[in-house]
Amino acid sequence: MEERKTIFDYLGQVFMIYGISMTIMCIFGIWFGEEAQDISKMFSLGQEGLSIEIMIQFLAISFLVVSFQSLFFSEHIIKKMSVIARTIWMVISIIFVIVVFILMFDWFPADMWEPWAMFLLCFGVCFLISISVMVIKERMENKKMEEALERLKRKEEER
Amino acid sequence: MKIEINIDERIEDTHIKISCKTLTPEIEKVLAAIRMLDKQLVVTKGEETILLDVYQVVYIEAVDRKTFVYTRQDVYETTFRLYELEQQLEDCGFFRASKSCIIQLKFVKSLKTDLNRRIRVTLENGEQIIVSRQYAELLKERLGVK
Repeated sequence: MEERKTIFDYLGQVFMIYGISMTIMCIFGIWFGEEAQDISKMFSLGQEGLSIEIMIQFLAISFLVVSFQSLFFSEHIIKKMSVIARTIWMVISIIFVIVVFILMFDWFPADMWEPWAMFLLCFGVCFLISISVMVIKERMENKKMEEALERLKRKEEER
Repeated sequence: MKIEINIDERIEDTHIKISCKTLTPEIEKVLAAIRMLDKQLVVTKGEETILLDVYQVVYIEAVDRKTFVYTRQDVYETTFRLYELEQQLEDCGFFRASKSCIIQLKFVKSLKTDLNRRIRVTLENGEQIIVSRQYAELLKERLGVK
């Protein structure tokens, strides 16, 4: 039977992104929470941890990221679009939403270039890592399928 | 309709004989099914009826309740439904690619993963066919990569 995406698949992805981002935020908090405490609402508790407010905002971001992913990679909603175009639109939407959250919830001062640079750098690195993992995984899977195809073809010929 | 089966150990080659007043579509269907046992597919092209070796078939597609058989050079039509052909041809190296298509493995040039866990099949003639997610899982199982 066709494997249909359920609400649990959706929630699974949301909590995976949420879990990873929370882990990274905790590490950042331990590293420079005290220094960033005065300028960033994200680290308002310093090295103590993250506030509930920030945790809820990150949860909302996680929901939105998975929603964009589902939207741009669903062929029921967007029928004809290349994978590259889908990825670009998804990244633009995610950046847009994060920027809105930064400005709306004062994650860091909007007039300072350093946090923006850091944000773009972190986003870029995370994006590159996830794309690289995806490409490597796809190449490995394709190679495995090609090898299996040749094996099966040989087997069929022998019959 | 009478059916007569004569089992005799001395008979070396199986011989099937059909006696009828006229060749009805039902009898033609029976004949086509018997031909299939010999790996031959009864197909039509225009007014012409042809016996096609199944190993020449690249893929078979169902469009608007009609079933089309594609070889390297030609396209034929058959009275068989796709599900009937799928059952008959599974042992000949065919696999289901989607609700409307079955493909012969030996004509597959490459397999690539596609969007939403589907598989993009490139045939030897360069034609590309998408294996739907439902059948991609079955194909992976058959390939032994799942």
